[in-house]
Parts: sequence; structure tokens; C-alpha cells
Amino acid sequence: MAAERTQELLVPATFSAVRAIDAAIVDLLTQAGADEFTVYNVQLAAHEVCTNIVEHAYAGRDDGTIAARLRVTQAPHSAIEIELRDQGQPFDPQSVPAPELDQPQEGGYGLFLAQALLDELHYQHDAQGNLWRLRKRL
Amino acid sequence: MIREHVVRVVIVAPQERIDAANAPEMRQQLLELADGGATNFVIDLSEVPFMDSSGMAVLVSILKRARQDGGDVKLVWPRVDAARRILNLTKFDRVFDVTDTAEAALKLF
Repeated sequence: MAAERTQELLVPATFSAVRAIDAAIVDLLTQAGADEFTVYNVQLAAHEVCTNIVEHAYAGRDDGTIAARLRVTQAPHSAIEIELRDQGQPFDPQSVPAPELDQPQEGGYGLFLAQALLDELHYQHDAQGNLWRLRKRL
Repeated sequence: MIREHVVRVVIVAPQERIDAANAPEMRQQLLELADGGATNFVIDLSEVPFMDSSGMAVLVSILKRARQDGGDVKLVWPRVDAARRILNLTKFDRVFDVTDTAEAALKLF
């Protein structure tokens, strides 16, 4: 059985810096032998959560960070688990209604995509700030 | 008498990922083209390896502007299958005409 792999990153909460998290996910999943759709979809889902953090949690602030913890697990089955932590404002799920897909719109696709492309997407706010947990079976 | 009807179409073919970091610049460039009188656009996504929801928002912005000005926007499918599937998932392939090549997109005008 392949070993579990874990990687941790701390990046500035900017649109360009979150690309480092995308790249780490691609590397980890490629090493784990995931297919191209899984690699793309998990990268996109995590990227959408990260840009949501930059845009909303840290809206107007340029001193924020995002701590990412990426883990490929083997038991009970092969999966990738991603934790994204920030210290910005709490997320309000009511603020993002599901997009009307029959009418093109200029926003609102981000978290819809994250939810659609993952098996699990959880959000919680605690004493250390915001925590997003993403999970996708491989 | 010979008549010629020429439709001006601007073809834009990004060569890199489109995400929140560079989407505002792309939006501005497209809207500047629209301000300059362009109404018909082909956005060739064939060489785009990755596009996020910010990139998709740019496509919708220019579509709305083009249609408001009496024109339209046609897309060329990304070569990356996973990126194509996202355009299916968000029903962008129903909102836009999407073709396999820029030449095919031009013929739709």
C-alpha cells in the first residue's frame, strides 16, 4: 500500500499567491496516480475556495494568509483531504445563492463548482478563524 | 452589382490559465475592444489549460456587452477535456455557441 502523503503550505491571501496551493495539489495528486479529471477538478474546487477567502473573508485586507494542509489518505479508501484555514471574516452561506444556470451571470459559480466537484465540502468558524475541509475520493 | 458584406470579428486566443489573478486584465482588454467598436468576438480557449469562475465571469461580461451592442461571442472549446466538462457543468455550452476551431466559430457570424 502506498504511503500517506501530507503537505503543508502557508501563502499570502492574494489571487496570485493561491496559485502555489493549486500547484501543490496538482503535484500531490499526480504523484498519487489520480486521473486528469480528478487532478483538474480538485485543483479547481480548492482554487475557488481560496479565491473566495481572498475576496470575501479578507475583503479589503492585504495582510491575510491561507494555511493549507493537503493529505492523501489510503484508508478506509484512497482520498485527498484538504484543509484551508484563514483568519478573515466568517463566511455567510446565505451570501452565495446557487447560480441560475439557464441565465448567464457574472458571478456565483465559484462555490457551486467547489461543491459539485468534491465529495465533501464543510465550513466551520472557530476560535482560530475559518476552516474549510474538502474531500474527494480517488 | 456586386455587394460585399464584411463582418468584423475580433479573435482572442489566450495562451495561459485564466484565473482571478489575471481575469480583470482580460476583462478590461475585451471591454476596451468593445469601446473601440468591436461587437463580434471569438474567444478561442483551445490553449487555455485551466479556467476558474473569474474567467467564466469575464466570458459572461463580454457576452452581455456584445449582445447589447448587437453582436455576439462565440467560444472555441478548450483542448483539455476536464476544462470542457466544466463548461458543460455550468451550461456555458448552451449560453454560447461553442465550436472546435476558430475557423468554425467565424463561420457562425
